Amino acid sequence: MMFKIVLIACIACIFALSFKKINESVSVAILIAGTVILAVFIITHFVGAFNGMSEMVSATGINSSYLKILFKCLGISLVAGIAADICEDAGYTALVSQIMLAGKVSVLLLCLPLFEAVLKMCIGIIRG
Amino acid sequence: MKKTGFFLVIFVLLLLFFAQPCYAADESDTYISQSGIYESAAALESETKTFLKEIGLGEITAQNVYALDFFTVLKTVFDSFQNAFRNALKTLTVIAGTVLLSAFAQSFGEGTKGQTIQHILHPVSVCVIVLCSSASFAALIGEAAAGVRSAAAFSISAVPIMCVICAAQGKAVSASLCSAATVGISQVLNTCFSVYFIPAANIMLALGISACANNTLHLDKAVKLIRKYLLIFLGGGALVYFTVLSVRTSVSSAVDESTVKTIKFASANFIPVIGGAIGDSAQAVAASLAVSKSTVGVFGLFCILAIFIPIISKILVWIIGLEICSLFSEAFSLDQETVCLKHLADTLTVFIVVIIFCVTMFFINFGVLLTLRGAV
Repeated sequence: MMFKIVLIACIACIFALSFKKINESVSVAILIAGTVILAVFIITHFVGAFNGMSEMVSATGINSSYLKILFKCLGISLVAGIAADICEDAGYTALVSQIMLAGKVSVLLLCLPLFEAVLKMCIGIIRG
Repeated sequence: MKKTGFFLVIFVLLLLFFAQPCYAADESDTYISQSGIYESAAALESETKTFLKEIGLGEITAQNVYALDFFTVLKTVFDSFQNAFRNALKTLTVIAGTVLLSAFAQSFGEGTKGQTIQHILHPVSVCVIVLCSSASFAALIGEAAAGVRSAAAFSISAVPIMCVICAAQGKAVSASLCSAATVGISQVLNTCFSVYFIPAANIMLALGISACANNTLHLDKAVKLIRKYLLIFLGGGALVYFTVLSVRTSVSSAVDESTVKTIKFASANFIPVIGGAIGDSAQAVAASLAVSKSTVGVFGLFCILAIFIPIISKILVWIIGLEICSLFSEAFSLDQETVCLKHLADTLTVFIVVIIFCVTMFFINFGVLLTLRGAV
């Protein structure tokens, strides 16, 4: 797996560098394509680990929706991070801030049920 | 005539007085039922009931207590630990997995130059850890509270039993007072534990969770304060209890022995005709009382063990597991997760201290009941 990732990264890097002086927009497109391919490749390999963890959670009888939320948050932060890195490399720093904000708001909205559940649990514990 | 009538009245009174203990060998079950054990046993957790069944106390009778096998009890205790470990291990694995995921997410932010989104995942992973452990925790805290409440109920039922035994043995009230004070203080402490300590520990847990979810509130100081005062009050309670216990041990035993022996000697030598009979019957009474009290005592000890062993084993496994998980998250520099796991472990430590103190008081209380026979 690691060999393939390194290979894809090297090829994308070489092509992006080659096209940088000829046409910079093509270079950025190659960079984006390479990054997306790498991200998809990595995420598909992690799906197995996530599924394994979900199975473990369902075996314990714990509500697996909590872990699903964590996975989603992780996914959002990954995607937002990748997008922010691409924008940063392209020199669009204003977009980086907006992507970060969008990511944070998405995570917050996704986690509201979690915070609600924790709050309910705290009230339940205090009431005994 | 008047003299004979007088001694007849005394004889009848003494017979009435000793009537219950004379048949005490057959009435051990009555003593057990008087202790309110059946009501408390009915309210026990299913796991504790299973534990009782497995050690051979499915049906609470004196015969079953005598038939207890040491190796069966040992095996059941070991199995209880094993089950607690197996059940906690699954949840602890999920917690460790969440810590790993959080570390994984944190690692994405390490290489980037500018702002990162990864730090927003820490409160989320703390919430997931808390919610994953909450199901086990709620049951554990409930069991601990039920155990402490049962201990309080047993402790309250111990005083009437002790009074019956003291009255039946003809013990001096002054001597019994020290024992009553010991048991009485344990009653007060047990009630304090169930009414104040467990709710305070619950509040501490809730504040600890809130402190981890949002570290800008600085609630961890409140948590530390509650923990400090809980331990201070616990230490104070222990000091009072053991002071009274040591006073009782040094003062009452000598008084008890001399008083009861004097009563025996007086009844045998100064009451004509029937005095010898009373003196002889006193030996039978003492023997049967010994059986009865041992039964109550041994039964009480096994009940306390049965109530507390599953809870203690679970809490111990959880404390160890949470400490390992906190070390694990500390290794990845996940501060919020580490603090959360430490708060959870600290709360459980307070619970286990309270429970162990309850168990200790219980053993001593039943020891007090058992030593009361030594005077006759």
